[in-house]
Amino acid sequence: MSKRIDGINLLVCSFLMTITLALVLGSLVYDGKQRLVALVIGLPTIGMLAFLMLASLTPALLAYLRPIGVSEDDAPEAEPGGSPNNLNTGTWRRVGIVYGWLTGYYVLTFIFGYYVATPVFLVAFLTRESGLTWMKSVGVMVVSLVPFYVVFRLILDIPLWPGVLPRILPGILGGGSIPQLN
Amino acid sequence: MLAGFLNMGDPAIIGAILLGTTLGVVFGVIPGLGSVIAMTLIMPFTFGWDPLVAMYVFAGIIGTASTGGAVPAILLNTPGTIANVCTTFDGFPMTQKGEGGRALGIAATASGLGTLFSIIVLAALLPVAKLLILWFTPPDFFWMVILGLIAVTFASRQNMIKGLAAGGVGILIALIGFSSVFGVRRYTLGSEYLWDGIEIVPLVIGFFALSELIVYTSRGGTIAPSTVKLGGFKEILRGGLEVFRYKAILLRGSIIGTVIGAVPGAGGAVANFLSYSTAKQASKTPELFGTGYAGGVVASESANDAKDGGILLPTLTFGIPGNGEMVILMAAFILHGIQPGRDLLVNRLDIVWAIILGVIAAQVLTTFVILGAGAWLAKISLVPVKYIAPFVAVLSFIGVYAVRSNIWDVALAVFAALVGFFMRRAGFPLITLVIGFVLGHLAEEKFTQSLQISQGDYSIFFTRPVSILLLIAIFSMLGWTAYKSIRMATGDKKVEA
Repeated sequence: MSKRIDGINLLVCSFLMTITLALVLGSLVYDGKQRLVALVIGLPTIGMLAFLMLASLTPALLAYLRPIGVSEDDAPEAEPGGSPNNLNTGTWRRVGIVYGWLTGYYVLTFIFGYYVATPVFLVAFLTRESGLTWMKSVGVMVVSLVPFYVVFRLILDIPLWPGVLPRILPGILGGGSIPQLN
Repeated sequence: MLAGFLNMGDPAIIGAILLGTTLGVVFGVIPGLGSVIAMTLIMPFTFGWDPLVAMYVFAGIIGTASTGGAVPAILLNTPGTIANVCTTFDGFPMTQKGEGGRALGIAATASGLGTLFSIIVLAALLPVAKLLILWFTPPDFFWMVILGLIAVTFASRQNMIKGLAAGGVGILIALIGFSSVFGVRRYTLGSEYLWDGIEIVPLVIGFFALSELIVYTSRGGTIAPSTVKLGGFKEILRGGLEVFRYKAILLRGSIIGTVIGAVPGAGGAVANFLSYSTAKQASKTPELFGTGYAGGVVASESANDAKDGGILLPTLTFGIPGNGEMVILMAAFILHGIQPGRDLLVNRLDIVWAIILGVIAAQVLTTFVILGAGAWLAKISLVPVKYIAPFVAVLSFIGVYAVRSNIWDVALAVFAALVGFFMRRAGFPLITLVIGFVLGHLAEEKFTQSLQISQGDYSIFFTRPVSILLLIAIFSMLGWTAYKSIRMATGDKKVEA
């Protein structure tokens, strides 16, 4: 079976290398003992990541590394379909859509807060992805969110994020200068 | 002790145990919460109660939270508490094979037996505990941490370089934020969010729960194949009895949990990782770990519950709280006018036995609840993932936020989900990054403390008896790994020839 350059591996190694380099180079501004662990751990980590990046670009190199724990299996098979095969997921497109839902839920939560974002996310997801009717989605959302509200808000009294709007709107609309009613 | 047993017939104490157990299970099941939050929330309400009754509530929470955390770890690949992370490695694959009920049975029984073991050890060691704890000095703690870090190597047997690299990155990330050792903030890049460092809960929820959500939702279908038969109560009971087939793993996990629990600062997560990787290392069939192997669940669950007995040892005898749970218990002692240490062991032995018996009673109760309700819980694995996914997302988002009310923690979890997905895709074991993260800060703290004691003399790490014993253990583990790798390599060459 043919082997090819492992782009995902290269991407992950590059990301980890960026974090490692940032921390190791950042440690140089600190005094002796404060940077000791960063250097002792960081330098070998940089070495290993550089090696893995090289191995990603040169799959044949992997064949020589088996005794030290890097398997030839780490290099991907040539894939005709373009799906992240070894995790038994859907296609890259489906992965992107699911991650889009998560990101969308977060953005909605950040702007409008949990009380608005969570019902909207649940109804939208149940309707679009799960295939329920609008009415059923709303029903499931109400039934499932009541325990959440009881546990987190009424029993635990954990104040959930109200969204960024209540912070910026008074400034925009001039509400900040209006005295509160209570 | 006898008085303690007789007290357990008191309706107030029965109520306290039930309350503690319920809180422990509920807070354990919800990812991101856990026993510390449960104890913190109930503590103010116990003010004015009989201290004995209050201690049964706290014991109930301590004894059950990590057992409750095994339920979402097995069924949804979402560890309820940090100490349940390794349970996901084999518990969730078992669910995917339609063996979720069996896995719950194994987890409940292993947890119960692990706790019983550690509590018996605690009761037996209380008289000599002082000597044991005083043996451990900062350099010994440092080597104990290194021993845990060596587990990184073992945990990533198939991808040793990737495992070590991920472990290194984990340690480096742990250095971000305020250092209590040096009294400075480091590597914050000018960001206020990083002042307190990276929080573990969003990292773990992102890596394990949300990245798994991406995997199974993009694929569709059900977690277990819809054609499998779950087997009902019989299957759970079979799982419960199956634990006794893994006596060595159970005993090893219980010992590791008890010992690691007694080391302040280590805790259930370290015990969990160390037990799992040691079981894998010692196994004749290490390739089965991570594929839905019952022994993996036994190793993880016996250790994370066995830490309960160990962790109480330094708290009750010296007033040294080993983790967040014990800090809250100490606060509860102060609230109720109880002084841990000599005074507690001599004058308030009833409190000591209340905690010991409370942990046992709550654990037994939880074991039976999970065994009884397991068949019903396991049906989650046959629900199409398109219905489960939005609720896992909501639970994860709220759970992450609840820890310290920071919306950026949720952003971190969403980002960690993406990183976790790609790391898994590239064959990087996430476990090694997390264990590096958990132990990194502790390693630096103990290393620096040791050098402060010795005024910069590095020989302090090699001259203390406990350090020498730990060094021997480290080199034995490394040597054994090298020996097995060489044997495997030469064996392969012979086969090829």
